[in-house]
Amino acid sequence: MSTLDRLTHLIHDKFGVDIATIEADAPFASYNLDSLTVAELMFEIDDAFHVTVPDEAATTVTTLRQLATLIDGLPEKV
Amino acid sequence: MASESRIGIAGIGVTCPLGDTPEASWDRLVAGQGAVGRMAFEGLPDIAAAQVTSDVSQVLTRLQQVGTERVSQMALGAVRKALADARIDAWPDPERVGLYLGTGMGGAATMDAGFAALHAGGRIPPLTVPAGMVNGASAVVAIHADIRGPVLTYAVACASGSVAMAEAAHALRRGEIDIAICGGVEAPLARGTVAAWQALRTLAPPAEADVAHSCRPFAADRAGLVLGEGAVFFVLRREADLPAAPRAWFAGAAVRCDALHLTNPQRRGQVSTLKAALAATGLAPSDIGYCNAHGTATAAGDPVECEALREVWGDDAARLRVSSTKAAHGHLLGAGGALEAALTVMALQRQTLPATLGVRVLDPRCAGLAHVLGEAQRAPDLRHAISNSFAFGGTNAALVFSRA
Repeated sequence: MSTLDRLTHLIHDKFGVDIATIEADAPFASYNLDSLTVAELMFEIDDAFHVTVPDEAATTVTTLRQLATLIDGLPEKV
Repeated sequence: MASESRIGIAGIGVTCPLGDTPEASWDRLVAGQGAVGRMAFEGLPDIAAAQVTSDVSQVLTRLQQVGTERVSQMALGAVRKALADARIDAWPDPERVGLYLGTGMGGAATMDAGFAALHAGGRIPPLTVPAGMVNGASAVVAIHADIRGPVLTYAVACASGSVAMAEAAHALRRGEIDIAICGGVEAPLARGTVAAWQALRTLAPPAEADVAHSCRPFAADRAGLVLGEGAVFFVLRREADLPAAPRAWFAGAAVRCDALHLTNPQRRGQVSTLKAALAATGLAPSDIGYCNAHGTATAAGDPVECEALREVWGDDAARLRVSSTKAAHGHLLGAGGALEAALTVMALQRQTLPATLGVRVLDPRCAGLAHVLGEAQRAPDLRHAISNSFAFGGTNAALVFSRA
């Protein structure tokens, strides 16, 4: 499963968001993820992907595709 | 628009260990069916506790639950029930609606879980502050009920809910708002919070033979308080704005402080509070037909409260009918005064007095009052009743209600 697919399912499982409404290039807010929800999502990603998402990502990353690209570039924690 | 008009209780919403409505909670109470059971926490002695058994998270979608926790979910659920009971589904001016919410500890479970994770070498979740902050529940209620007037949180330990209700009635009388939503919420049954209460040596151990009667206010063999959780909210309106007959009238209230000790209750402040509450209503002690006592079942607290009642009621003390419903629902801390106010209103509506459950032998230091023990009593003459909340920190509140 691609990082983008895994993120889509994580958002669905964690927050109950309908997968059909999650568009990779749309702003998080378009499917009702506000800044607090995005902060919570980043926290979950660290555990789910064994990475450390940098703090500034919560403000610089605005779409799921940007987030997937960021995660794919991060070193996996051992 | 200040008004001398009476303040009516237009609606009540309850989520408590006894039930999910005022009527269900009342019926269980007068049937003598308490809600105290045994509860286990890792690494701690088992406690006696009164839990809410319904799924309180259902009040929000999973996406809406982000940044909320049990305390805010219970509060919102009870507020929605209170609004439905008051037949309110919208308001023309949200700025004329106020929320007065009492809670002793706010999002204690969130803080507890966050610190536990941190101290175990893990990470603290990013929404620990908004979910755990003491006014978090108020914010969640305001957002989802669209309350844009004063949204205030009162942290006055075990008097929080009662103080919030007293303040709400004042705001209505001053004409600051047209609809007051007020009450209390508490969700203290988290491991660290329970451990802190155990460390203070105030909790009753689970009664081995009869866990349901672990909390025995006024009894010679009482062993301490039993923690409970829940949310209870009221809709208060001025008489002229009531769409129908109220459940009861909020006759008046008073708040005073002992200013003597952090935890030990003191007769001086309690007497002042009771006298001030009566003065606020213009009622004489003999007019009060029932007292829902603070009665936590601690060694120190119960005799002091009885002493204060005897002093204020004087020659009428032996006729003052008194019970502590905490025996049945536990001590809801910041929500305790609100739940006991709801049960006091139910006593007025049903003309019946709930008993203090589980008392075999009364402590002689608590005598001299007409304790309602054993079974609920019919009281067809009941017109006025008082509910006491005496808090750690020394702040005392007494609320007086009258039959509608």
